[in-house]
Amino acid sequence: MTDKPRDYEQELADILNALAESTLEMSDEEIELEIREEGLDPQIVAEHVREILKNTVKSCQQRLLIEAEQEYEKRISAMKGADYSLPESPKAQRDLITSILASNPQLVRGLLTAQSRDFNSLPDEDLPAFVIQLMSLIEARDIIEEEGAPEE
Amino acid sequence: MAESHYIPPDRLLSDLGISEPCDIRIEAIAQHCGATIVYERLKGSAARILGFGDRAFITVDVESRRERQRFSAGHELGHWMIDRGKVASFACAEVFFATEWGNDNPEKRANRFAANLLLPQFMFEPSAKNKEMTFDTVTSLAREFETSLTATAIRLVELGSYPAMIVCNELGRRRWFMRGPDIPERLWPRETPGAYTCAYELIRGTSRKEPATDVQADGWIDPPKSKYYSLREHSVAISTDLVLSLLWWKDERQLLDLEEDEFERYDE
Repeated sequence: MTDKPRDYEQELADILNALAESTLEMSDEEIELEIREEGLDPQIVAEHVREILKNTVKSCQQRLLIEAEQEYEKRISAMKGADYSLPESPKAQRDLITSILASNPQLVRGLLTAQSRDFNSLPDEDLPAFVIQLMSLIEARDIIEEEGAPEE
Repeated sequence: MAESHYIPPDRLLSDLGISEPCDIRIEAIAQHCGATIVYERLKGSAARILGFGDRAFITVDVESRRERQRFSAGHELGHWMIDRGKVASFACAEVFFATEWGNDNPEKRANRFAANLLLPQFMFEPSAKNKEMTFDTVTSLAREFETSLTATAIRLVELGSYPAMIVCNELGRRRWFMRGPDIPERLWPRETPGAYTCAYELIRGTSRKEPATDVQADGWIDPPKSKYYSLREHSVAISTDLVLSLLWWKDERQLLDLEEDEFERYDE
């Protein structure tokens, strides 16, 4: 006799498969009778099953949407948790933007427009979020350059 | 050659399995396209996008109304999908979302992208079917799709069941207009609405709200014969300077007569 441990998950799957098989082999009348014997209304049970199937199909079709939603939540939490020490004065924040761009010429070259380079037009109140976003875009670029782009 | 990142809104919705208005979750759609939407207080614009490489941040004014936020986000996503590589940052004033529907430019293209994404034809048409071409219908559809009045009104004119036109007047002068598919190109709205129109009262500030009203067509439309016809006008002031008017040819005689004229001219 071998000491192979029991695979409970496989056993459970086998039982469920056998149950599904036996249900498939039943006639409509037998199923209806069984539901009534359980004290349930076949119409309500049918509606419930339809709803489960519909939702399952929908979640399957929306797999990418759900993944994107999870990714979104992850990024927002990461941003909330990130600690960017920003200079306090608007002037220093503008200087920081200038210095980020100066050290990342590829950002300026062909990507940022005159419109966005005219940071003087950005109101002081809008500067902190702009700086944080700029820093995290550069951070993301650095990670990709270090680790290589993720495979599609 | 620059790599194209553009995915048409219909394909995006289909890729993501979206088939009902309540599933058009703009944050998830934008994230799928590499753009993260963040809500912040914005002073200089209603929304802006800052992008680099394949990633972007779309910042939307946290104090705007939800439907406005959704449209602003859709508009910036339009810039990201259409203008990526050409520019990395757009800051869009709220007024763009209402005024840039006329001439072809990046703002109009971004507005169009947002409208097609948030009010897709295959969902909008059944919801608008046989509904009156008035702002009451627009309001109810805007609630269903969580979109702005302007974008929803434009979609109603494009995809609704009856012949209509939408006209936007800014400070009393026509800023842009759009004809529904059943309105012949010969019909042009006047540069300024006539004195007996509801829009005239709104523009002058003598009224703040006007119900849908049958008015003589020449108050709105140029051809000389317009005075013999009527149309149903429903106008609303969407800001202190802007008045939107839905013109519905509920009585279609003017359109039928124009069509007949065309046939006669063609026969000659």
